[in-house]
Amino acid sequence: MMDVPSLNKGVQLLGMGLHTALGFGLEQHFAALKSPPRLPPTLRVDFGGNSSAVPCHTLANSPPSANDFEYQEKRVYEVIQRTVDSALNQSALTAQQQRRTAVFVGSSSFDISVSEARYRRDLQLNEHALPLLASSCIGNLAAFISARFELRGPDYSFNTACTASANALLYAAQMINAGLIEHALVVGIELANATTLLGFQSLGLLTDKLMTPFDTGRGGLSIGEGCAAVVIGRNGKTDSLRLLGGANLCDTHSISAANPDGSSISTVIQQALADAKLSSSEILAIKTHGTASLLNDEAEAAGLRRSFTHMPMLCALKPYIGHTLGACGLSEMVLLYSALQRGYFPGTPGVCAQASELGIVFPQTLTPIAQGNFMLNYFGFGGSNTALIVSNQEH
Amino acid sequence: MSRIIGLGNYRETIDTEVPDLKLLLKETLGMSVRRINRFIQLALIGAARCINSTDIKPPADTAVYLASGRGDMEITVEVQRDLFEHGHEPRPLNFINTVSNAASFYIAQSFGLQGRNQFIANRHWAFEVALQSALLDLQLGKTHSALVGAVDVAVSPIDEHRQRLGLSKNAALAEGSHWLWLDNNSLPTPTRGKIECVRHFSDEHELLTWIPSLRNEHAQLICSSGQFMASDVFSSLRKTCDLTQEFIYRSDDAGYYDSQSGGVVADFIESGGLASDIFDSHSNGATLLHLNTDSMQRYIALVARREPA
Repeated sequence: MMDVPSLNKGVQLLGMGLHTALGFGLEQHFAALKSPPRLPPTLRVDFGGNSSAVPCHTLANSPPSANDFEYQEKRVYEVIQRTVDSALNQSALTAQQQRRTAVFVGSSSFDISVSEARYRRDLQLNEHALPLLASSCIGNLAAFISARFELRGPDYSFNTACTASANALLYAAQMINAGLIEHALVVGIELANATTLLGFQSLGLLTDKLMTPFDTGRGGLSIGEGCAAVVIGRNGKTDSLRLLGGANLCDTHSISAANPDGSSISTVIQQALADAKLSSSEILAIKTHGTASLLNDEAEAAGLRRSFTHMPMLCALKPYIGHTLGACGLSEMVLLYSALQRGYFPGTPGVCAQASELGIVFPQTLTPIAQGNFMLNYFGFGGSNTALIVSNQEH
Repeated sequence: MSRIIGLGNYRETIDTEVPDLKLLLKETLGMSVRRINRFIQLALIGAARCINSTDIKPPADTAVYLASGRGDMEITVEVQRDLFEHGHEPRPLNFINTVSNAASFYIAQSFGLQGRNQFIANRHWAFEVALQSALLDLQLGKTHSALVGAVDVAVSPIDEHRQRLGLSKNAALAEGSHWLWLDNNSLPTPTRGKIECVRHFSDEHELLTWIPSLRNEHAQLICSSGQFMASDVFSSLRKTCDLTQEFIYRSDDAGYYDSQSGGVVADFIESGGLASDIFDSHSNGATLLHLNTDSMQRYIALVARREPA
């Protein structure tokens, strides 16, 4: 078995970029966390002569314009480029380091918005047009990033539903810890598309109200667009956020929900703690997955109760930016960090001010918090359960 | 280095129509699985063949790594047509199955596997990067047993599928499901071979610097080329590095699909570890060097060995 350096030092976040409905960059995101979450706008989705209005937290200052097909075929690349630019610039890698950087992309939909726009455009001219003519390779976005930024390290694309970018980060960190690569650019990307919006609508999982995770009256989720990028490596500043460890497991209970008894979630939490060489009592606070769906929240609350004798402080970030699906691993980690780096833990205003039937309580405002170890949970379709542990303690 | 303890391949040239896989799936898996389409069926067939090639069952904490170039194109095409041609919302189960890890979930559920479960893709070498991730998990002790597979499916009508793949009108088509079962020497079953490494190279210079050291370690090195390496590039590399023996595991006539590299290790081991242009009954323990490249002229090398008889 490989002898790896102590994981307690962890892999550090050297640069970040974040674009969600709240804005672009960590400053705008932290400013938004000072106010309560807002209802998302409804997005009109046209499909085959029909139309549906679906709530969606769309990217700030970058409207989807779904019926502008030419724009839609470029939008995902422009969004990624801007966010990756931010992360790379902040990381201050040398040209040689950047050249050798590996690329890890996590998403559930990748560039399906490009395929949809092309198909819709073709259908206007030919009723027998073919779907999925443009961009059918899952690795296309990673290949684009590698080529655009001349990153000649390997590239990997993770498609594990809502755990995708969390898993991408986990493997990127492992490869750095194993000495296979020195730096990695990890990207989470999710843009609005008809398949995702109407797919979730067909499952009856969407709400047109504010998301209220773990609340007795919770009524579902709203989708969010998100693009997050981080550059990770070693030898960053001593106060950088570090990934100490994590775990991923498959829950075979059901393809669409974790075991409601919380056992599978508890197991992945325990494995993540073991990987980070921490006990549960050393976790200062937890960013929950908190989708406000009946089944997820029930399972997650049960899993947390099994894992923690004394429940740490909790937050749920999806009410602010929506469920950014495959991008939520990175988007919620960077959003969390926008508060942590300023000495605060996010509140979840208007949700679970008192313990719900699931026993979950959220602080209602931004709360001062010491440096420490934090857990971030993510659970997705296909039984994919992932937990990450980060630290902002100086080392 | 990790042991190969199981191998399973499914590879089929597609002439006019994609074959129905339900019966083969039932025969191979030993049970029916309902409400899944052909991509998931292919994945299950290949994984089952791999597991059935051993005399043991995979332990519950076995990890699953599924790779594909384009994932479940069939379900994505169906959903897109439903939406934009017929004006229907996706059917709920169809939508859930559009996530690529639905297939790796069904593998996990069919065999009772609750370890790590990943779907990993790459434009040119999906199998290699999934294998690399599995090797790393084995080496780091994140798992001690790993199923690694590559699946790419053909979608009817075949002519439309050719257009999506950017192939000419008469290009041969195929589909495949290729699986290896690896462990770190912990399971009570014979060794079929070894995976030494999967390594990435930023450019040809890095690759050419590394190959001589590999040659020094292995008396008999047999090379093969991935489908994205042009034949003249491969010939030039062989000449430069004095790689005299080649293993041919695929041909353009047999039909195109992404992730064909998934089949090379099993084919090499099952062929007896022989170079295709030399038949030598004393070539036990020959080492395979499989090379692939991409549109940025980056390279990836997979090194595997057949266990001597």
